[in-house]
Amino acid sequence: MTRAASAKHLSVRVALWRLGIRQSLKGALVVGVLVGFMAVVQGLAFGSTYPDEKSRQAFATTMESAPALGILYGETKNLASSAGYMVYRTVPIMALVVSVWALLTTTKLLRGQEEDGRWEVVAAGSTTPRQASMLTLLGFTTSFFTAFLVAALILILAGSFPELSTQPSTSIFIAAAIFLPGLLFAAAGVLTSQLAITRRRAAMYVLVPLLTFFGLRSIANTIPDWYWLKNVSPFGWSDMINPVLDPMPVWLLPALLLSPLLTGAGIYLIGKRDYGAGFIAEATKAASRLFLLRSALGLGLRQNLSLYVGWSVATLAISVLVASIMGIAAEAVAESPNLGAFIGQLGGSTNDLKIAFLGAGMVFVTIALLIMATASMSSIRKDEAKNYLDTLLAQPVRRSHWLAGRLFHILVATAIISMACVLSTWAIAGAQGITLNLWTMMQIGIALMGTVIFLLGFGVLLFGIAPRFAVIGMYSLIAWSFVIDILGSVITLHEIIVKSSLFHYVPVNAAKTPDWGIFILLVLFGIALAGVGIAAFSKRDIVTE
Amino acid sequence: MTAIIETKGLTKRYGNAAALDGLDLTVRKGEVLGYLGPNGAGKTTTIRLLLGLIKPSDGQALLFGEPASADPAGLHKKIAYVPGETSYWPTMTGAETLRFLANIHGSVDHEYEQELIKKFGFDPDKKVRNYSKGNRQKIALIAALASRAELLIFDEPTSGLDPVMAKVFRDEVRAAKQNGQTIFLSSHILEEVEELCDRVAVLRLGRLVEIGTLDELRHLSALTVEASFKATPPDISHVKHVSNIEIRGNRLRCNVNGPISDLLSTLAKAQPVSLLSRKPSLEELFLALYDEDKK
Ligand SMILES: Nc1ncnc2c1ncn2[C@@H]1O[C@H](COP(=O)(O)OP(=O)(O)O)[C@@H](O)[C@H]1O
Ligand SMILES: [Mg+2]
Repeated sequence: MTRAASAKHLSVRVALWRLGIRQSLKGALVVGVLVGFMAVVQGLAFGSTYPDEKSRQAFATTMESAPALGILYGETKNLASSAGYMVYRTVPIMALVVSVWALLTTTKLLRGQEEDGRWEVVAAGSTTPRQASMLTLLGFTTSFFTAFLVAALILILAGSFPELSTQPSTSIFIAAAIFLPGLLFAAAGVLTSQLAITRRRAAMYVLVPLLTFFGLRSIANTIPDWYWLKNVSPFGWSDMINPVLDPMPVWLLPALLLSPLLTGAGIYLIGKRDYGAGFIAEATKAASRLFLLRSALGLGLRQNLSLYVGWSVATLAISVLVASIMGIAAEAVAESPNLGAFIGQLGGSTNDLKIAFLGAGMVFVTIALLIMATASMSSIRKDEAKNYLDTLLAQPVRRSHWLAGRLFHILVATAIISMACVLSTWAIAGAQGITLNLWTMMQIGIALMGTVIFLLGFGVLLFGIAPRFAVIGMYSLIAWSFVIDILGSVITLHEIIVKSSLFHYVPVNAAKTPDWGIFILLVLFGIALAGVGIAAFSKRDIVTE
Repeated sequence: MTAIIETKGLTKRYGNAAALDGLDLTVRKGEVLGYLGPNGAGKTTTIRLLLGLIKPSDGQALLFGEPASADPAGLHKKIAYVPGETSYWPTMTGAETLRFLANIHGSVDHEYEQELIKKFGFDPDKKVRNYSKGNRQKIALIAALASRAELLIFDEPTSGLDPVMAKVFRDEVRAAKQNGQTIFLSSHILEEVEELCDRVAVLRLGRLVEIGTLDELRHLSALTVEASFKATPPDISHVKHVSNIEIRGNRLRCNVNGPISDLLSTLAKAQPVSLLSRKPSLEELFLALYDEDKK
């Protein structure tokens, strides 16, 4: 090879590596900051709620008797220190977030780009597809470690606060416990990207085992006899690293060893397949199914059915989970007045802890509904970005009808889920001997929709005037609300800031009739914003990618 | 004759750059208008403006006498459109896509649709994801032609088709014209334009450079003259109306823009062995029209 040719080769490689970084770094930074922020806030909340050794010990003893709380959180052991509490509250949840982000990113890089036809140019260049994929993955790995470092750095810096007083080595351990499962599921994404021919399926092939592993971990936390299940779950390994009290670095190993194996298998397969093909073959002939093809809106429903059903199942599962542990959890907390006060504040009821737990559950359900609404909006924007909307609007399809119809679908879907959640909660509570008023619960199911309608209206407004920012704007509003809600439980915020959080308007008290004035205001605002958005959409250019 | 498409000063600006700059164009009922121009000339922009997908910065477009953006959905009942790059849902089959397009358009000649599927050799039982670009293009063509819409708008429709299928396309467009349908054909393929179009509009950098029948356009352009001699060709650099002189050995070649008599008498004196004059090929014609230096 001549010198010029090898220099060119090198620059192509650097370009591919940079491409990988460019497509993952933004997400990585968000994840890194989020992890660090959440952990630190939880630690500080603990430090300020239980300032002295005695109250901490009392809290730790109480919690140990309630392992069921570990379904969503960590093991209810070692809770006598801020760092311990930090691990309990953040490691499993954040490991879940990091894992989902990681798998979505590697499947996007290694299958999504190919599916969109953007990879052809790259793969047809002077590098082989295998080399190109490896370099892009190297870019992702760079971003992934950046995220880890950002989170670790935030934890180390915050560790010097007296409320936290955590050793730097402990902080690094905590960050490692949060990020390791992500590394493994990213690697799994590399492999499934070679198997499936669409990114969606490649992601599903990882997401299903991922949620199963998380479930196994939850079961292991709840049922002492089944503790061994942790050994087979990457999230269990994370728990067992146990960074605070009794660090077990050996549990870092399984993920560290398995990740290169899965990645290697994926990279081996890349060279063995045709461009655009996958190892799980798809029949080229397909039977036609002619349902929901009568109108553009019918098709919109057809194309989004799986999204709606998926979110329904997930949301309902959260709601059922929270309702199921309500009794046990409330009993455990009842013995600790401090924790009771904390949960009571979050759940909107200080005199009945069961109700407070339900309230916290309502917040979860609302978050799920809000994210579902945003994901649906993202699907609307995608129709535009990927030119499908051109196809529709070149036909006799009215813009305003199409958008309003799609919004109607989202509203109906979220309303059904909301109602299903409150009804299942009511039934499960009843089975535990906790009597809730059915009529009140149904009203809450309706009232939960207030925030959803408002957020949708906000999204539609953005979609009408700045379509590229609609989805990011909605996610930002949710994230902002979430941050305010959490900060609000630690420090006293100005009233205006508190009121800027969507969760401020969620009717969380299962024993109280919701405030219909607030609901009507939210709905009116939402409709007004949506109206302006639809009008703007009718008048603007279609903006494709 | 009534105008099916009429644009008045139609302009689309992106920032400071004009993708389309003051287009005045009329397409009459029943004619086939060829819309030509190099890449980036503004052809697709024009079509997206006509369809109301984007809004004009200035001027207006009338379709069937109505403003294009007033009630696009109503107008589109009378229009069928084939984009240069189709965007169909990858998980749907060809048959599902055709059924859907027919349903939302509202009019379809089922018999003709089946006939077209046969003529194009299209297999409707695959998922869109598994079709080649040419096959996806066929979906759009079949759906558009089978709708028998009054106005057909094609944006470089044959870019993914092989020559045999391109021929089928030309036959069907001719049949559509016979039916009295109006056709707006943006194209790069000169053969297609020459065979189908009554008139041709040429666009460059967002501006209309020429419009007319092919014969009219040919008159605008030079005649090519080639001659060979026993000895060195004569010096013709001073002869009127002559340009682009090329001399290779005993052969001479030049272009003539205007009366040819001066050149002929000069050449005759030098006793040519052979003399050939011809009209420019379409390709030469369009190269001349596209060429920035000439306009
Ligand atoms: N959305 C857009 N934003 C900015 N510039 C655009 C946009 N769409 C088209 N253009 C520009 O307008 C010009 C005309 O484009 P187009 O109509 O697609 O050309 P053609 O179809 O003749 O190849 C090009 O220079 C293109 O870059
Ligand atoms: Mg074009």
